[in-house]
Amino acid sequence: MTPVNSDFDEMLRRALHAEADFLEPAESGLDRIRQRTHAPWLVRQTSLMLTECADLARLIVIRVEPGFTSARATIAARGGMWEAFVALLSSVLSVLADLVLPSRRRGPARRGGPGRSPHAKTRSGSNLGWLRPALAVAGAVVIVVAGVFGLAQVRDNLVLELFPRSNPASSTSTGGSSTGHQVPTLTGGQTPAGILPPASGPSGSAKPSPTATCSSSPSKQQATPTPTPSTTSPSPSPTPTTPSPSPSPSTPTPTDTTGGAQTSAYTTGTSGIQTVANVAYAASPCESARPHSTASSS
Amino acid sequence: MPAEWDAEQAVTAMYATHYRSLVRLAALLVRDVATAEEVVQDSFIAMHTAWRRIRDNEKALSYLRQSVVNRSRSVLRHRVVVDRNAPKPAPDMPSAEQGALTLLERTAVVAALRSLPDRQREAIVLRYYGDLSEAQIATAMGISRGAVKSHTARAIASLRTVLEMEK
Repeated sequence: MTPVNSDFDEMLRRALHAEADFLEPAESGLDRIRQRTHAPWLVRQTSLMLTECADLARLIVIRVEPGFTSARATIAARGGMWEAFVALLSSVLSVLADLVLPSRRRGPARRGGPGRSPHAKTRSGSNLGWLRPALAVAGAVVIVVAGVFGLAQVRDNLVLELFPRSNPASSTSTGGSSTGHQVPTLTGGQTPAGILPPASGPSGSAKPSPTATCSSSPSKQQATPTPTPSTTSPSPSPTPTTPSPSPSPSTPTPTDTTGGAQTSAYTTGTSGIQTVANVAYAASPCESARPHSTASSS
Repeated sequence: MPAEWDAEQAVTAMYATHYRSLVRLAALLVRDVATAEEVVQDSFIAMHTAWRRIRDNEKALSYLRQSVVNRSRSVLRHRVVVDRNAPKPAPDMPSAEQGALTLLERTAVVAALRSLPDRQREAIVLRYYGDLSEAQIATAMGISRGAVKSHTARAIASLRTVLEMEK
């Protein structure tokens, strides 16, 4: 048999027809098609999804089986409690495998005959091509939503942790908080008492202690936060003005030596603030360092 | 097939005309009649779903062929995973009513055909069993005509080599 060209083609054609022409499909094909097309959409999709899940479980079982067998052999070699546990687990898995691998899709009338292979039981009616992309999209959406909400939660936690008592209403430039927890900053805002503004110079140290800390640096041009002993009036942040008269190094200077509070009070013309400031300076141990502008203006 | 037919009538008409040949074609591809039947039934259901877009006899047949080929590929891909761990099946026994020479020839050709890669086997089956043209094979396989020629030529060369060695 040395086929050449048309002979070879003819031989191929004849062999293929001889292989396939005697195959007769089952008579119930049209009924099965109609049964499936007439089923409600939800029932059809549910059935297909169950089929896909069964196929997936079957594939998982097939892939896991060798490893499970070796592990079972290893554990069984140890004997004792392990052996009993493995026997129980094997029986459970066999029951599950029987549930997962049913031969329910083909009737016995359709089996047998020449050309049949054991693949007849492993065929999956894979009509859920949309399932995998849908699952992928759903997973992506879940990840994105979880990420967004997770980031929001982390941000909120960070804010609450860093600014535990921050109140947006009290962070106005008027500095109207009466709790004494707000510390004025250079920018006119206020930072919570737990957060110290960064030191802007060698003399820019501030301690949130009830006792005022006096700075001995007369040449300080920047206002430093004032730890106000009284809880009545946290002074709004002023712009630095002329430095206060230089006291002796032994005489402490109030931390807020710029007299900014007074300047701010005068510019606003509120005598109440001025009075409070005077009282504050009177109570301060650095009384001698009262800004010159305050005395002159009063 | 009138265009005003609904999907039910179209499925019935196409079933009466082409179901058997499509099952045989699929059986040559997937080597299993029951699976071939399911593949073809799935294709008919897909055609039923897509009938609004098809609405033509030739298009419906082409759609069915392409669907059968694609679903057969899916079956074979799925089977590859199963075959890795499944025990080797017993070889198919030839039927007794076949003549001895035909039987030998058929067995050799079919065995050689099964050793081909999937695409080459599809091209051979569609050409020599389905009697399709290159354009129809290209449509059914979803590839170009040049690729069809290439697959067919390589398949024939492989079959020649295998059959020569067996002789």
